[in-house]
Amino acid sequence: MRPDAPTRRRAITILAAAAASAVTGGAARPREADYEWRGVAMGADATILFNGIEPQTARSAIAAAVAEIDRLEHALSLFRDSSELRRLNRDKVLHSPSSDMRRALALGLDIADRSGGLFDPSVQALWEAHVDWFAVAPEAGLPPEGVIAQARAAVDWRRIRIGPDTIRAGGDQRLTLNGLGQGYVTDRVADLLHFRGFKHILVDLGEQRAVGPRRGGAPWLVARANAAPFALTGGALATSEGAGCMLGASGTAHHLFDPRSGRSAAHWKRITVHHRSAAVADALSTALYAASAGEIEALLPRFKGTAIWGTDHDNRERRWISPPVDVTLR
Amino acid sequence: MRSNVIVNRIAKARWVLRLLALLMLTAGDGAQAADLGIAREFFPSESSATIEPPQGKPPAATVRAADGRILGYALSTYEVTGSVGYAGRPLDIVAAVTPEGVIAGARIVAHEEPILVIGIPREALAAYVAAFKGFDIRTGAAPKQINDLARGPHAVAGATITSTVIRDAIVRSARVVWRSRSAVAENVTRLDRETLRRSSWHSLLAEGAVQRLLVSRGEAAKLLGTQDSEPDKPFIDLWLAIATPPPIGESLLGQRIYENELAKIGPEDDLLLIGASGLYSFKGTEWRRSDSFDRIELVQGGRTIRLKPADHTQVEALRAAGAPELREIAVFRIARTSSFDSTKPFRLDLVLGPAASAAGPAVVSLEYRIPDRYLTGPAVAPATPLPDKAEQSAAPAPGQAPLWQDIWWARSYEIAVLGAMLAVLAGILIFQDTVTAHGRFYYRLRTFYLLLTFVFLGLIANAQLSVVHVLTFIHALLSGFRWELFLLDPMVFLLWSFVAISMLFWGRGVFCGWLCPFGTLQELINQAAQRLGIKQIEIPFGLHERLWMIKYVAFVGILAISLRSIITAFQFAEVEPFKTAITMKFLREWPFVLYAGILLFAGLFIERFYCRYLCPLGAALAIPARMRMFEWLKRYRECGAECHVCARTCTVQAIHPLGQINPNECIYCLKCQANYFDHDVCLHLKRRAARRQPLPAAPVPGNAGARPTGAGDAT
Repeated sequence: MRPDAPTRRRAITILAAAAASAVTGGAARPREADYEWRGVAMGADATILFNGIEPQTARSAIAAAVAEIDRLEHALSLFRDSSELRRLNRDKVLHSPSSDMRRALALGLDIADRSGGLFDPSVQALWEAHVDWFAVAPEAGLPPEGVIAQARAAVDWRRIRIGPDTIRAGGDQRLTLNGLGQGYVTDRVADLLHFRGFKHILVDLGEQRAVGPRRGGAPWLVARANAAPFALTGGALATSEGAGCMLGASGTAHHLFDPRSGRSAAHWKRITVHHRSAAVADALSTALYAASAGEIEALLPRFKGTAIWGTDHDNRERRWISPPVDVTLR
Repeated sequence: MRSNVIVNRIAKARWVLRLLALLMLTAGDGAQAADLGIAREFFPSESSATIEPPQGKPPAATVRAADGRILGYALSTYEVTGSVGYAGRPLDIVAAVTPEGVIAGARIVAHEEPILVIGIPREALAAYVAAFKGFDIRTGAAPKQINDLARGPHAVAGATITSTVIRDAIVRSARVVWRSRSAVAENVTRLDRETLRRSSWHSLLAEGAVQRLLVSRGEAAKLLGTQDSEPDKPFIDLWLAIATPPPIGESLLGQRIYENELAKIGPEDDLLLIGASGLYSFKGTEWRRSDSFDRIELVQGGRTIRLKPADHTQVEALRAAGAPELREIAVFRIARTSSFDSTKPFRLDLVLGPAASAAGPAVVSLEYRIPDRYLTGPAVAPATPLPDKAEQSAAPAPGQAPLWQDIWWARSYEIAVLGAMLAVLAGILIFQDTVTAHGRFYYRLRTFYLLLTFVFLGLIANAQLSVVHVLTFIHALLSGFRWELFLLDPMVFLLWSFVAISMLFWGRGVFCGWLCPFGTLQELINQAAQRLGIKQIEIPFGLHERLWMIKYVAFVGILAISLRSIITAFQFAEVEPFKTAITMKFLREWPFVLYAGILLFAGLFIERFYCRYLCPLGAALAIPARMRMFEWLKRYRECGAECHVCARTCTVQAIHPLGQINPNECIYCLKCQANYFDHDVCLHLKRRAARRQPLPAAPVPGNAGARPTGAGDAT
């Protein structure tokens, strides 16, 4: 999992040829240009690329997107003291949750159910145990089994209850939505812009979701290490990589935990998932990072419409597809 | 007593109001300042209130208590707003508004009240106006319904649009004055909660006051990660509107529901309307056991506004003309405290499926922004610029649809029925030979039509033409004709148009025989009487012929009087029992009821007694009808010579004993034509059958003195 990692070093950067902020559309459309917005969403760098629109339209779209990000952070963010998630972690109960909070958490629990607990919103306890351990002894090795066992006792997504007007967590539980929150916000911002009629946008709030291809039909290019870039014309890409946030001086642990063992998962160097929804892709990439190749194979039928790329520590890539995948990917 | 009954009567008076306004303007010196002194009486608790002379723009007089405290501002609606579209003294109302924006009192001051003449008791009108006391102009809430009106018409109200006249005059004027005088005058953009106007569905759509979100089943399936066999059908077809401004809310919800909902919210709160058709319900079922709706929410900037079941009302149907039928409609009351600002853009988020959808969040959004015309404030021009008095007319304010168009929209259903009725009647008249040749069909059709005329035109639509309309028309011609004046009452306008054409073709009888509710009432009553065996009185033709003169005298007299004083003329027009019997449905002072009763009683023994001898409207129509083009009523040469069946059965005894039909008196009921084709009634046909002689007599027009000579008679 990726619990609160304030500055995630991302291996993936946007390579979209049109990304430069001042590339004009040529003499034929002097008023239309490409625009880029850079900001922060859910504690991570965020970018939105607009291909070929008028400045005024871009400004109004960006204003709407920023307001939407701000609104959703009020619900889902661990970085805001007053967010619904923080209140839930404090009080173990949240009355009248926002529908976004309900929806995001329900989606998380659904993925948890279907992945048999590989994804679990309650892994925050493991993150805290590790962070506390390394804060005291940064040079020491991994936390001892006793510390992990204690933290693991609080990890069980089945104890989270979503009622009509309340959300309840177990008395010792702390939740995180960082495993899908960025994807969720990405989805909402992308849908919002889509409903405003935008056709050529790439929303990158940690996960990349394309609202249509670039103008002219060319795909957005999402770069990755040691391989050709992904070509994205629709849907979302989410990548989980342990190296994104290392813990401890020796880098023996990282932020993506296997809820079963309570330890940082080690099967993969990097997992990338494509799905129509960035939230689903985000949660799946997190879940599958903790799964072995065989487990991924077994889980595949439960997650329709996904494409998965796994890169092991020897930089060997494996790929799985669970149809229907409606977007062509290279 | 419901207040809109009164104002319904006012609708009837509109023509007259307009006419008077025109006369007043022609006279040129009609505008003398209203006496605002009476406004002191609106503050009864302050025994020594003083009133200053009116000043400022808009003009208003400050009312002060003995200690110098400002109690309120007195104003004349005519002075302030020219009574908005209903220009003219007759609707000058003196009102006072307190510094808090509450109307302290209102009284109608115009004494030319033709309203009284047309059918509204003076007290009822005064009570309706007085009921604005306590009206808070900031909330735009409706005045309380009047419950204690003992007298006056208690009939069921027809159209409700008509309260516009008085309400708009009072509320708008008070608001203009209050805004200009009040220290707390708004300097921010606000929603216009006062302007009254009816809008059709299409105009609301066109201006963007109603927004649509259409999600096909295919799109929904894609968002939900499912499959759908009929991807092109609507999953949900949703409409959204801020319903707080009356032109949106009242038009969509109808006055009753709109005002009910307004009464439940505070002055700064809002009404939101959501309606939808399609497979999917925007309300769902979860809300019954939850404290908020789980499928819809409003998002404005960074704020989320949940919609609560306790703050919503289910609505059956939209009332605006042209609105689609929807499966689910609800009004939501949104408190200002939820930090929702209806003047700013917002969006509605609609969740398409279960919370945990396999395909990620399936949420669609609809952006909404209230059109600028519903906003007031520093950035927005005042809703109605003060009209220059010399220019006061029926001309609409710029950018607004003329009032008459709104009225036509609002009464579109009645207009449609009347249109159908007129089309059927035109068919009957054009194919009169075919219709009357089928005797039984003709008699049934006629009885049905008479019932329809009486019930629909008379009781429901109150569309009884009157000699008053003739006077109005003549005076309008004299003082500058304006179409707008006559377009204000669509029913009367359509009826008159049809009557004018049919008069030119066939004479005045088309109206009298088919479209006059009082005439049909008499005829229906007499038919019943004849069936019950009441013996009919046959008046000798010589006397009958001379009694005809009365109605012409009555009409010419009323016309002459109207040239001197139209008010007096309207009072003399009470010789018509139409108002008593049709408009007010006998709920009137006893002498009027007695008079109408006597006429109907006489009608039991002499069919259409009133029509025959007294009706000034019939006379007014008969005179120009002499210009008619067609003589289609058929007669045989023998008619009148040997047989008087038709003359005896004629509804109004318009057939001379010698056989010719007097077109001035004929009401075109076509009975004689049914006889003409009836082998069991017509002597000529019977004889011909008896002689088995198939050669037909050449039919000749039997009226206008075209007597058969007998020369060359084939029979």
